[in-house]
Amino acid sequence: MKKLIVFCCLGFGLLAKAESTFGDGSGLNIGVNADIYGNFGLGDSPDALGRLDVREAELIAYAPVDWLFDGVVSLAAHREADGQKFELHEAYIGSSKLIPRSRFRVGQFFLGVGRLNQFHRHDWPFVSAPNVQKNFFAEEAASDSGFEYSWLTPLPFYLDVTAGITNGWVYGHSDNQGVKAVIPTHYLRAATFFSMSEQSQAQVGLNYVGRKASDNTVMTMLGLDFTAKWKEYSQLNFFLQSEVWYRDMHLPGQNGEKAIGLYVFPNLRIANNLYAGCRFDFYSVLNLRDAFGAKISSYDYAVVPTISYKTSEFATVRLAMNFAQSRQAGQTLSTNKIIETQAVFILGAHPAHDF
Amino acid sequence: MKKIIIGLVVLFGMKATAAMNVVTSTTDLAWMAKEIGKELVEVSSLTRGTENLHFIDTVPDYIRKVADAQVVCFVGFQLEVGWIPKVVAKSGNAQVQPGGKGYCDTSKTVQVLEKPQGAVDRSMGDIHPGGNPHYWLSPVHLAQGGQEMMNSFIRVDPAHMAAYEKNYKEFVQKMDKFEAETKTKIAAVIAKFPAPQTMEYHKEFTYFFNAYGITSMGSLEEKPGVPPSAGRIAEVSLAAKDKGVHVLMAAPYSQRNTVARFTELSGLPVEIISPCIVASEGLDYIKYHNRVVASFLKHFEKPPAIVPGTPAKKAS
Repeated sequence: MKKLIVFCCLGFGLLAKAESTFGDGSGLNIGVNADIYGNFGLGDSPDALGRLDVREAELIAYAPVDWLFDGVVSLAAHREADGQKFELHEAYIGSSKLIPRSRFRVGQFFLGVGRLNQFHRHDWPFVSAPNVQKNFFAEEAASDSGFEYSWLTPLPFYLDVTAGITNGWVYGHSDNQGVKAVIPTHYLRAATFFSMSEQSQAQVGLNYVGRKASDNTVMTMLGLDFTAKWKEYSQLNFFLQSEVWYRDMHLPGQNGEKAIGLYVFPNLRIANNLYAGCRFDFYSVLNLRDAFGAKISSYDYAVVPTISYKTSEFATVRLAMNFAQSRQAGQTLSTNKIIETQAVFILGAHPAHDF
Repeated sequence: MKKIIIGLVVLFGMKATAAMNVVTSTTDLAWMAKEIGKELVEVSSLTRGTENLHFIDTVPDYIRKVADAQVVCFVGFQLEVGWIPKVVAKSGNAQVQPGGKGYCDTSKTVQVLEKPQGAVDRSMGDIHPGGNPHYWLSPVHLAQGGQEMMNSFIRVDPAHMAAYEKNYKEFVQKMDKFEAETKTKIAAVIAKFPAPQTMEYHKEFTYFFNAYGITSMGSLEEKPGVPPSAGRIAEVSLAAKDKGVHVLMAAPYSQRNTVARFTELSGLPVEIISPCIVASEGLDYIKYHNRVVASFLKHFEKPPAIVPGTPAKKAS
């Protein structure tokens, strides 16, 4: 509670100061956003929370540090199972001015791979994380401290390559320090872009993430992300976002676990400010075997119709019906029918986003 | 080896004498850049003149173009705040980022209209604290923006300072003359009609009206960037009819159902035309501007369709 009060004082104190700060020549931008999340089960839904919470309140400040470097700090208060947590989300210094066609950052940040993992949750196009994101990254994003470098290749088409290396003592979202990894988390992403017509464009990313943990567990992930937008006079009429990831986790000499996960989210503008979309999730452990060594089919799927009302980039209200089933060896292990609600608002500054 | 050396010399020689690569956010700025830079510049526009400049994405292709640019010029007044900062940052091109020689915010030298007084917040809609950014539909204001463009050209290519200054001076004279002639032409037609003569959907024709002494009843939007409510549409439509407004000027991305409702309630025409040069039409600024003028003036060929004071159609 004390931490939350400190967070609120800090956030609103800085926002109140922002008016004068903008004019002081430092270029400091400050924003606060909140993500209010509701989760209500229908029938017997074991994963339903049955409550409305402020899932997250985040304070972000960013500005040029000097003529060469830029800095970003974001702090967030999260609702977690054991209460409200106040933590550092991101803090990094970087530059896009030092090396031609290059950007880099040093510090703590969301790993620059995939699509969802690079966006803060309040900027996602749907309410909650698909299974593949939860299982392969985190509820919001895998973050860590390290170094990331991006290079825009000098080719006649767009090809942006990002490589990063981070401590890897922990992976995903962790509140503890972890143990030194044998091979730190390292990743690579190549993103390209193409126009399908004057009004429609798409971006494709190829991703790799690797790590060898302190217990010698080797993790290898390969992913493909795809984002497409169909517009009319810059108004987004149809949006498609999808990711597919494969992960192999094993101890040396053992089979370990091979899993695949994907989601597809088409989203259509049905009226001014109103969007209707439906996310399809699939997640499967590919090499699950029973006690006799026979292969067992195992998969989770979800269908999540979502309505979004977005009055501006600063305010969004969502309603979703999350129907999810977990099946193994032809049997249903669990079924969840959960109504999810979300209200997001942003006060103050908000950085421009990528495509 | 000799051939390689000659090849390299030719290659770098070409590079050294190549025209300055200028990228602009809009088609109108691109045309102005060519006027000021002439044969010394290669110019391309990121947008095509059909987009709503408030709602552009950080399109990766823009990043690629900006990465190779020596100068990047944009309108400013926060019109492109949602995408230009990200585009220049992701380009990794220090020269066109804030503080760089090729960073060209043309609003720096524009005498802005409608700068809000007092505190501004988002409850007022998509308001620009620096003032109305849609300045390029006034030739004189466009030329004002050209001064910062010229400055940036000189910063990057000081060897041709005299040429840029000469071109800019001629450009200012050309724009002054063009605006004066157009003003005379418009005045000859609209002078006999009482004010207000027109209105706009969004405040993007304000500089056009201001340049030519056209009186406007204001905008159909109550708050900039916020679609007008049914009540607002009804109220404004009936008032426009009562006051004898001739035409509502709107951009192609204005909400079609809203402008249709305006026409339905007021009986007045809506002129839908892009405020920016549409690249695919191949017209220069002068020709495109003349088209905007003609589109406006055609609604003054006869008295307003509705005689001021006629009983209004009841809004349903």
